[in-house]
Amino acid sequence: MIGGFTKRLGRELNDLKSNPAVGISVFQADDFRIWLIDIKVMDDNPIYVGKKFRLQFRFAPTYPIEAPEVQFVASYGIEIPMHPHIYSNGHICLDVLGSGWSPVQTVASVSMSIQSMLAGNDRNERPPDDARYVAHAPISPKNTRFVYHDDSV
Amino acid sequence: MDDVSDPSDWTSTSLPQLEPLDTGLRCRICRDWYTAPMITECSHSFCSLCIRKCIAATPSAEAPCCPICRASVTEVRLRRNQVLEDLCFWFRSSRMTMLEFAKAQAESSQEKKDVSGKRRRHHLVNKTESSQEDGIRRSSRMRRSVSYQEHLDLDHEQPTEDNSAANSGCFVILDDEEATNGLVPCPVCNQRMTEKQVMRHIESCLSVKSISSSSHQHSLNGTTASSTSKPPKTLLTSSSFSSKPFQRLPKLQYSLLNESKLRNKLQDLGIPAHGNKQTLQNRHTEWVSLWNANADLTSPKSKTQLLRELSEWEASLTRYALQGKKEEDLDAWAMTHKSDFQDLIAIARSSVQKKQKAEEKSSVIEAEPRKLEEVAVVEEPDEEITSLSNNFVSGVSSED
Ligand SMILES: [Zn+2]
Ligand SMILES: [Zn+2]
Ligand SMILES: [Zn+2]
Repeated sequence: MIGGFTKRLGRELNDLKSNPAVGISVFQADDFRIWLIDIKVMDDNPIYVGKKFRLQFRFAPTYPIEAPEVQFVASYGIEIPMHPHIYSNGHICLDVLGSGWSPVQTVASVSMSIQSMLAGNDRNERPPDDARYVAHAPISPKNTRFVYHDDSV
Repeated sequence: MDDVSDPSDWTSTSLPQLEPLDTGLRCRICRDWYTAPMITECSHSFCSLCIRKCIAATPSAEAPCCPICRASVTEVRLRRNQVLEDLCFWFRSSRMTMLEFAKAQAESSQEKKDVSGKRRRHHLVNKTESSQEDGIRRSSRMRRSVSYQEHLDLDHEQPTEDNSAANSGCFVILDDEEATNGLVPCPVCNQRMTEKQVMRHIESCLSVKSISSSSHQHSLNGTTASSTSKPPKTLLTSSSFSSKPFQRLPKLQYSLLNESKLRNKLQDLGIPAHGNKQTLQNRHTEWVSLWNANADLTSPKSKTQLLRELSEWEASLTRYALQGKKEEDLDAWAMTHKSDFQDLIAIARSSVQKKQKAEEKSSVIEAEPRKLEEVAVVEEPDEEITSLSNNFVSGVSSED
């Protein structure tokens, strides 16, 4: 572990660019602080068909021992995907981003988990506590103690 | 170590099957070559520092678990994976040669394809030469086995009579009847057999060869020493183990220590002792990981080097915490730390002086671990100690 987290991120970026997974692409990765990754849901899920979404990864020097901070961001023509585990401020309730994180996870593997979380969803709605959560949410989703919803959705 | 090599380097070569091997010799946490690999109870391996940091970062309410399979892991049950470390070392020492070779081979087989493509077009006109096309196909297969031969040569730099015989004979053999039997020579002993048999035979043949010839062993070591800066492994000598100056540091039950007791512990260890309890605790945790992982290295680094790594770690965290804050904050932070490190250097110097005086008085040589650490500090030129504190400061203020 010499060179620390930037070296590992360099390798990940190389992988992401040279060997991209279907529907996952790097929109911006100019430094080792914040990356923007675009994802598309590949099957014909009517909720997301024809749409592109943007994930923001924020890395601390403790990466990959600790999870990156991951959320959806809105931009011109890009909205926060509708999902019962995704809040309207872009925060995502997914265990792999919190207690389920492991240092062998990568930006690519997290992006794919989120992609398949969207693909498997058939409810065009926000979490039931969306309004309350968004009103009081910390800036970083990592500071939220999510109680992970069960995976029956 | 600016190793930007990547497993994907193999994809467009003639040996793409080496990609999983290349991947397998890298730690899944840092994605780099294993450094002092440790095996867990669940039989997964990670760099010593990677897995120790991982365990140290586990919230105290949870049991540390394997990053790959989530089986529980216990730090004291980690064991060095010596075989993996050796494999990694040997692979790395010949990787560049193999890679260049496999790239060149991919290029030349591309050329060959172009040539045989031309001939094939030619054959459409002249069908009677179909047997010659067969010959071309066989010759490319022969070439593959000869190439393996060359690769062994490059690897071991051991010209044996077997090699030279195979080298000089190989393209002549193509036109022999034997070639039409589909037999190829073992690249090591030159015995003829089918290609499949060679694959099975070659491993045993190589091991017999290296045991029977001591000069072979020497040349292996020689190649290693010249191709990398790492000293050759001395697996057979126990001296490197018995003289290890680093003893493992125990973990502390931080909840049982108040701030000033913890501060004293840090001072005793010779690491910066400023900050609140949480800062002290984080720094101590990092130091224990760095220190204990260092003790797993075949050639441990000096304490000065570890102090530098500790300060780099702390600087990177502070940079991160201060992102977007004002310049003055950074300067203030740098000033605090500069004085800390100057203090440390002063302490290191005075203990060195004390030691020198003590040695003048008495000629008794003690091989205490503590003394050895001090010697490690002495060996570093003063300049370097000064630049250490400068780096520590400039590393912070030069960012953003
Ligand atoms: Zn590692
Ligand atoms: Zn495991
Ligand atoms: Zn043989």
